[in-house]
Amino acid sequence: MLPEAFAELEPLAESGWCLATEAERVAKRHASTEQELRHFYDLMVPRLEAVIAYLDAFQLDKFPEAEKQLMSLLLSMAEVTFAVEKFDADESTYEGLPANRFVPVHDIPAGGLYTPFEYK
Amino acid sequence: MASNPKPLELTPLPSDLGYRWREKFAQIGTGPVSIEPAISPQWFEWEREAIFKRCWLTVGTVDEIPNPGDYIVREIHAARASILIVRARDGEIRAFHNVCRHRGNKLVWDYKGSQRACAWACRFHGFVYDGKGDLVFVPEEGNFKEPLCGKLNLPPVSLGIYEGFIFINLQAEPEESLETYLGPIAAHLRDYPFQALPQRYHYQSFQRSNWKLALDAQSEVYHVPYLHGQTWPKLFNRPDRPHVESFDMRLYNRHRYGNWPGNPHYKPQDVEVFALGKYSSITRLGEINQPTGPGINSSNAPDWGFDIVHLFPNTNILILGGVWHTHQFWPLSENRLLWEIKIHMPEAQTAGERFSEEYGRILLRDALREDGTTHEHTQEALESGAIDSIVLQDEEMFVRHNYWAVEQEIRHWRDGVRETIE
Repeated sequence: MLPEAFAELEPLAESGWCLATEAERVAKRHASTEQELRHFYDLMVPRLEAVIAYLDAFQLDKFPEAEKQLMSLLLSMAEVTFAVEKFDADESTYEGLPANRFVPVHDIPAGGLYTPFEYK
Repeated sequence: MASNPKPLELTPLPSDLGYRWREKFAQIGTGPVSIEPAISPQWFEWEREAIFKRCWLTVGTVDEIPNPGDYIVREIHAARASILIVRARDGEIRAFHNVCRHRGNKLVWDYKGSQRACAWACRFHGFVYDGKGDLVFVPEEGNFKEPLCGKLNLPPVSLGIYEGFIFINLQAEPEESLETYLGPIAAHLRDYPFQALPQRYHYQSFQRSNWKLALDAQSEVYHVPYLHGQTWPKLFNRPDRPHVESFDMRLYNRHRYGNWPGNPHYKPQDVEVFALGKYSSITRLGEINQPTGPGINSSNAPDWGFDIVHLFPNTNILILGGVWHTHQFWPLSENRLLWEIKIHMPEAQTAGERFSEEYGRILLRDALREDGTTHEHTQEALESGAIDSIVLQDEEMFVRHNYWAVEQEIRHWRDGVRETIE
């Protein structure tokens, strides 16, 4: 699934962290346990600069499939970094609005039907 | 922000801290502020008529519709209007009421898009309008008593553009020109290269809150070390200015401008240091990072953090080094709100820059989600009737001005009088 050079990150891909949209990535972060977030962070930190250097050799947003998966993993790392470094991986004290009430409209394709995001 | 290589020179606190704005702007009041405008359905009906149906409203930027055929739709719920804004074949940007002249169907149903033919067809019976709003095709037109094309055109809406910002006005004949309406705030839009940074991200949040309560939270920094204590520790507040005490505040009759410090000593955490530093696209921008001119960073402080330009009634433009946001607060009722945020920043050119902007956006988004919680809790608490007013400290002068400016607009519409700031 991932480029061969990053085989040790494969468990993260297998546990569903290669996600295309911001809404999916933040939902996965909030659904993860403290241990899962730490596991992701600890696996990724030593390879972070190598991942970025590797992906920087490609044209952004024109990645082949494996590189595309690696890029989405890198973006998930941004979510995980926030949880681990700001909240010590335990976001139980975070009291912001649920992520699904803060809608990333930029991930909705242009021309898609306008829905005013009803809430109950 | 932290990524900028800045001198460590810190601007000292002024000697009149704590009462300087109260003394300067005493005429907008110094006492408690009534909460009625945040909870009263009657007050909201006045706001509809006096403000949202009469004022110039910011509805977007020209980079949202760069090519002929591009369009956006803005739902102005408070004025019960849906507005279609198009770029026509001649390159001109025009606004229309989004309503088919045949039987009144909403003409365009999505919120943005592009029609390469520069023509918009009604989904109901196929009436087609061009970018000048002219009706150009009617199926079986001969069945109507008389020809319709060129006659039954889209109702136009007044539109103005200033420094790339698109404004509309829903009065049939606006009582003020856009230039007059903007007045002195226009100077604060001229010294920053807004259009050099494209719109990249867009959020919407529907909230159970009066629109002014949400605007209030984006109008002061007093709350940052408390509400955002975990999400933004020391990002802006620093030991010599623990509550990010402002450099400058300017209140105009409707609009306002403010200038605040940053924290050049902020130390990002382990991975954050990469996201905000080494890989940040902002660092390659040069002078946009530290803009100059009388209208931006008006104190010319080396430890500048951000400016807020408030365009009455409902738009805040937040300007930081290399990034700017619009925050718009669109009321649906006296206690329902659509909060819309658009983020303008450089186009990421590498994977590292893409990672950096993702992290920076999460840093913003998750603090704004915390603001959202207070909007709703405050609305609920105010509606309980337990208190009838709020109190404000000197650094919350924008909040006081928010209520004052709204009230002046209502009095002007209802009674024909308004106070002005000298």
